[in-house]
Amino acid sequence: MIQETQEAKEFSTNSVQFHQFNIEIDNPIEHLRTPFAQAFEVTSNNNYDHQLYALVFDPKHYQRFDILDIVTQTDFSACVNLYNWDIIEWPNPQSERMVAIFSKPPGMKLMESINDQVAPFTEEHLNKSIIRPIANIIRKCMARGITLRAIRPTNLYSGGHNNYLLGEFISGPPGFQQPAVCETIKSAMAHPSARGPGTIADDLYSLGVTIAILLIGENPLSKLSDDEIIEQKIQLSSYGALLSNHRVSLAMMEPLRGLLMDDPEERWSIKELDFWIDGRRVSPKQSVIIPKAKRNFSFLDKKYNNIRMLCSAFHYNPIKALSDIKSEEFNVWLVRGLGDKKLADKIAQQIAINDLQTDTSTPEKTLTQMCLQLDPTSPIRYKNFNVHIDGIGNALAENFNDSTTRQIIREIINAKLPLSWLSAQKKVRVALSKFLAIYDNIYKYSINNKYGYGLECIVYELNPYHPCQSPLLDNYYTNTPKKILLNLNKLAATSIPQSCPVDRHIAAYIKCRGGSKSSFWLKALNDFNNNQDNAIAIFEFYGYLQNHYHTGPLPHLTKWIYEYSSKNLFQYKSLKRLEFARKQLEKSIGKGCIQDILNITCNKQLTENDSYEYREAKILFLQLNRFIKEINNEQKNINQTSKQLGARFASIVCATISFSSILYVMYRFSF
Amino acid sequence: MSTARTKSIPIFSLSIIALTYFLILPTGVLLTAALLPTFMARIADSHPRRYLTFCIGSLNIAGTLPFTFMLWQGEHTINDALTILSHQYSWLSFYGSSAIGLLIYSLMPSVMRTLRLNQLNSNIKNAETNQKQLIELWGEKILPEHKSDDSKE
Repeated sequence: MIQETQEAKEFSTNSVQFHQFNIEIDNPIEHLRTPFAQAFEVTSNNNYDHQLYALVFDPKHYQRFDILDIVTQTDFSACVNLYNWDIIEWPNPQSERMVAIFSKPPGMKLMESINDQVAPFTEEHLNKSIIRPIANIIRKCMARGITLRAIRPTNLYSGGHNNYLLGEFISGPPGFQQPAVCETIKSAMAHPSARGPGTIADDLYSLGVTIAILLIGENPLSKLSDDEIIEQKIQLSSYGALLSNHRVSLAMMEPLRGLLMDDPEERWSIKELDFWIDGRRVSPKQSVIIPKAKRNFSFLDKKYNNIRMLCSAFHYNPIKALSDIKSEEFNVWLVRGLGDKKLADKIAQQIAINDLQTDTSTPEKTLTQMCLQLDPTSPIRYKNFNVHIDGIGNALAENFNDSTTRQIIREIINAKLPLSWLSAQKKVRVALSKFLAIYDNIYKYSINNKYGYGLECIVYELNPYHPCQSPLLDNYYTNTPKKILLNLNKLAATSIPQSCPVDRHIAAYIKCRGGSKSSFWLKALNDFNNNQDNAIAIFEFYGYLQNHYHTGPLPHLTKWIYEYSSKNLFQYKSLKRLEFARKQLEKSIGKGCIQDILNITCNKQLTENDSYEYREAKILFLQLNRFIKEINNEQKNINQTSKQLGARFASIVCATISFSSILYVMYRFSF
Repeated sequence: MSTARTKSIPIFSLSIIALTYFLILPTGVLLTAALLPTFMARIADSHPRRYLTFCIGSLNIAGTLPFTFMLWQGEHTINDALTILSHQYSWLSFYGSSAIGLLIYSLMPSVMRTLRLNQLNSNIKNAETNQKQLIELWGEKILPEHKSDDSKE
């Protein structure tokens, strides 16, 4: 509440212009806001059929930007339509935000909370205002290869004339805002951020639950917790849990049984729903209940008669669970209680494999692998964090700043649990085969802690539209490599940060979005022997990006990189060369060409000459030192030396004089 | 055997010198008196290279030589030799030249010391100037005690 007040204060009375739209930031719309975006009134110069509203997304959260283009190009009729989206300058706090303009639903939400009560819908009304329009939306989504994951009574708005509109479905991770009751058993078991985009079958299930709730006029499981809802659905099947205490007409029973089938293979497809809408009637499908054991298995003082609930309970005490799984009693329960000899053999085999392994496998990891064998269709359960194979990326993006969750996801990937989950699946599906290659690569990224790899890389690899989350770019919405450079340049224009211009997020983002060549420059960033090499690597990295993405001049970023690296950058040892290079640099920084700086500071020929001359100068300096030392020694012994030298010289002088005299005398006496 | 042989050589030499001396007795008398400073210097000179002997001897010989020639140009008699020796200028020439030799020998180390010191000081100054120029050109990293990343090169 306090935070909301602060945020409200932040938005001044001004409005923000965005194309032809005028976002009134002093007019927030409370009933349209989501946990991931704020809603504001919008006015437009163009005449639209609907009123408009804007969702301003929080850049720290994962949003479904991967489906933005498809949603913009599609007219969903019975859904709030997305007219436009873009990144805009947002005032107070000054930052860049992603904004989407939607048609504003004329009325309020059908249900504010999933536990609210509404007047029960008649079959005809339900068919006309909910089933037909939403089936139409699902059909369009299926044709475009996307899922909604947002069909719930609390996302339905009154559209006037007894019609209803489905609310937006792009904010937040897919399925995040869905209550457990509206999700399939396996989806409800997963952490809300880790449900993944799922399939159309999941949307059809949510439609089935929405129909059931509106038909009854309330949520029949409103008094149960999420875990109890899951347990109830497992025990009685979804249809049984929701409708066993209510009378449903045969006509409605047919779609409800079809849509609420817990086995996705058995669940109605959109085709079958269309047949039903068109008036073809078939006998209702019988709900398939998860196999129950003839006798219960006791774990932590609670009795279980099905493997799914037991596997969920195992994670409350992994050590006890592992000891129980290895026990003869559990094996007997699997064979005689559950009647699954094959499963018992498989578990015995898994136990034998685990006993043979001498690696540092934790009880949690071993238990997860056991549970994948026991209940392969459920999400990966690890340390009470359940995650779907297609939800790992979303969960990581949404929880990246939560160190505990981040660590759990790291452990899941490092333990190759996604690959174990895939190999545990009984039915080989084409949709799952793509994950094999993905998670094989992801594992390699995870164990590599170098720049451009690690969890940062996995976030961007698994979420192709997730913006760069570098703390340096907090105030910017950076969704392309080119924008990294432009935004860093903008950041440095206000004040040059003291930190390194490349952090793990930037490196990882470039690794994933910068094409294959960027890996070469990232390698240089990692493989440096000294600070000088590192400084050059930073220059080369950004120099390559500037040239590759044609960003134009980046004087502030250039100055930032230069100031950060100048201590280590210069390869010249000659002070004169340095001074000359600095003077040239001052001119070049203004031009904003990173490569120029590198050419000035790291000219290969000049550097080689400089190194050679430096070595020579150093040798000369040492020789001079030795020479001075020798002279000093000579000065100490000057008396002795000069005596010797003087005597020698005296003898030469005397000899010369004598020889001259002798010659003269001989000459005189000869003539 | 060898000891006897080494002893026999100076005896033989001295015998030859003695014989020659008596054969050219006037010259011998003159030289004995004239070269007395050289003999004295030889006795006093302990240096293996006999610089003192050489300095005094060479000038002593130069001062003696004109009178020797005068003796030889005459009748070469004892009387002539004694006449020369009786003359004061003869002694001035013999001993004066020897004194000059001694003077040169005595003064030369001081002269050499002064000259050498000047030369050494000049060399030090030049070397230091060169070092200063190197520091100006390369900075203090060129100093041997400067710890830089040169070691990595």
